[in-house]
Amino acid sequence: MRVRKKYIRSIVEQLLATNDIRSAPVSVEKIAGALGVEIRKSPAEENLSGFILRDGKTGKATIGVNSAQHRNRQRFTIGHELGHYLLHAGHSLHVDENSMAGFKVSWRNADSGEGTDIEEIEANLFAAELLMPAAFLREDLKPYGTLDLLDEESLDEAFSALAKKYRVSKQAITYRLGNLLGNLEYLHR
Amino acid sequence: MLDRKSFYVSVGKKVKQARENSSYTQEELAAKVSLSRTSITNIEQGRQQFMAHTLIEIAIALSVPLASLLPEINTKFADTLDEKLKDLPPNERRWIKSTLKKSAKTRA
Repeated sequence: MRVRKKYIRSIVEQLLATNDIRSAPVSVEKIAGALGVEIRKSPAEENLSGFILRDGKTGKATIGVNSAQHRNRQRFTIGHELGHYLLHAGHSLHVDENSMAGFKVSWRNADSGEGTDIEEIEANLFAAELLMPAAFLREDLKPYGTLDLLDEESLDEAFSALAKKYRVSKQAITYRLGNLLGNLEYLHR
Repeated sequence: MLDRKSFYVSVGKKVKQARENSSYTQEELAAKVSLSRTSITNIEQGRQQFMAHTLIEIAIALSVPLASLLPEINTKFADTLDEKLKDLPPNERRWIKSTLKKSAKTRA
């Protein structure tokens, strides 16, 4: 299975449109609410970030968020879990742990196969698309004209301002922009 | 909803047991059903959500009834919270339980 980039973008675009969200910051809680997904927060150790639980009988889903983590991180966690909710229907409980690279998996049945890695990548992409939609970024990058990639100071300033506006970490916005730059489809559209 | 993950893990164990009972290697079984050895490994580990006809071919190759490769439908897949939590590390289990006790969070 491959990462369904176009599919994920189209779902997110639909979500943003139906919830009438046209600029950053994107309220992930509003979107969760519109999807009928409940969000509950409580503190946990730093290595845990979130989980999604589906009730087999009622079909109701609950997202748990580690409230001890930074607010921006919690937003990303909700986006990530919503991604699992919409993209990966087969799992009734999914717990996400932190790792240096972002998200690591912990299945209730310990073995993690190749498929689960793809699911994590998809959930991360979903969260990035949702919190930092390409179309929003394109607008918000306009005032910067051309950014000098070698001018670290002004780059850092720009990324900080964007991170603040989108309510995501600087790391997340940097990674997202790097990803979009690598995406020719975006550049040529 | 059926817990798919544990379903495939359970089928995988049954396939492995049946294969070993027939004294086939993974390669031998793979050749009989036109799959790669890796696919057999993945099926046995519960990592591959195979198609229905694949399981029938495996049953034929191993000369076992199809039903013997399928798990009993019982509470094991009935999706209770305790069942879902039972294989998690204790700290995760505690956190999930305490989170679920919290009242639902409305807008932040």
